[in-house]
Amino acid sequence: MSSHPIIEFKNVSKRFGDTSIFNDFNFSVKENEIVSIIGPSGSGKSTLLRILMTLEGIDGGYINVNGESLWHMPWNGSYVPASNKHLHKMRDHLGMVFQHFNLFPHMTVKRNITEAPMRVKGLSRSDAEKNAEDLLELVGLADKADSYPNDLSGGQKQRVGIARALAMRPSILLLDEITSALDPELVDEVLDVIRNLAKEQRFTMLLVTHEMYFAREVSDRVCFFDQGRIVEEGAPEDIFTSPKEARTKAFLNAYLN
Amino acid sequence: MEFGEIVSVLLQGAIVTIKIVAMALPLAAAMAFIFGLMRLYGGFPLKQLAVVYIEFFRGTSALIQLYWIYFVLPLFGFSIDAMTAGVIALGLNIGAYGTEVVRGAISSVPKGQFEASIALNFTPSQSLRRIILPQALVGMIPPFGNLAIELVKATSLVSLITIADLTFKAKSLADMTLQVGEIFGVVLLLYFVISQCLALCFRYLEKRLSKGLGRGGVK
Repeated sequence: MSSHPIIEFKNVSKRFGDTSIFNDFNFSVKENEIVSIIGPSGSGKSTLLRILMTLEGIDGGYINVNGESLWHMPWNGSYVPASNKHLHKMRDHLGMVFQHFNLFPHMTVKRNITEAPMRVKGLSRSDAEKNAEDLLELVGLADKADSYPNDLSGGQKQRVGIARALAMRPSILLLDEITSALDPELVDEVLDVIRNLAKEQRFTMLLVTHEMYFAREVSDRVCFFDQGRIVEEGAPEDIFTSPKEARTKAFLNAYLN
Repeated sequence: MEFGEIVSVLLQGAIVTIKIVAMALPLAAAMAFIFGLMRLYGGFPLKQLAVVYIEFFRGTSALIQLYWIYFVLPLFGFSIDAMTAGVIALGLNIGAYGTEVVRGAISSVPKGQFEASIALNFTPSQSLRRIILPQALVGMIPPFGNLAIELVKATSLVSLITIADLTFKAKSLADMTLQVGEIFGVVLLLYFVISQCLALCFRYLEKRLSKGLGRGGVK
């Protein structure tokens, strides 16, 4: 594993109106690292992913992705807010799987997966479809290519969501509470897909999750977030078996028992 | 006058009415989309222009708008024939209502769909064309159907600028023959039939467009 940071937050601040989410926030992720973010609701976990996916802007500081500034671009020797073109280029590195799937309901499963590679990356239909078939195989839904999302179960929808994000071949995959909207018996089929991806370690993964056992199993590093700060971080073994901070202990106690 | 003769005269008028509807409806739809998108996505001046258009045409009488286009504009050197004036006035008037339909339907597409489009790196226009509009259209169809029927009924106004539409024919026949019962009975029926045909078309469209969406569509 290389030690080059693929994601870097430097003194980032983010506010929603009067509420400060991040203040002077620093965080980094190495290439091919799998990082789980855990913590109570409202602690800024999802906002972190949404900022990286360019769904939310920042109010201060810098973020680097793959060595380039995400929300700023160099111009006349200084940095200015990123143009749409710059954001478009930067998004190429990133993919996201959403809590509520956000599949396109008017398209079949196959088209959900092929549309962006064809329209955005310029893949030919046959290449995009071949790719989609492979990905559907990977997530165990080869027989659902022609179904519409509304005919699938939640777990199946989320597996399509994962395939759709992977089809763009991101180097960083953001997983935003991807099992929180699922019935308990459907959680495992989705987590299994991520487990398999994690084994291969082909890309960087940043996951916000409430599945503590899963986080422990797949992550290289776990970060415990509270009130916009990383209270504690480290190897999953350390965080889950011997947390140092009182807040982490209280949170894990509440979750694991 | 023979009943058959009355019907045949009125049918001629009905054809003129249908022609006006057939021309004003696409104009109204185009106005609705252009100004609806301007209102949502335009910069400040375009947004303001859209608001002025909407509020002006919704807020003043359609008949007076028609008179303006047909009787007043020629005073400024823009002469147009009655048929064109009728189509333009009705198209702009109904289009103003349609603008709000377009805006409302696009706004009601769930936020997650916009976010997924960004995450997959679609450009704003790709996202609008391929992701947002196909879903928004389903929601537009029923209110558009209502507006189309409003348009059919509003066409009777053009009889006041010398166009021999259904209402115009009916009035002249009634003046001539005094057989008001038969004449206005047939006229009611003809307007109803035209409206019902349009309503059927819109129901069919809604069914087609709602494929996979799991909402909308008359089962």
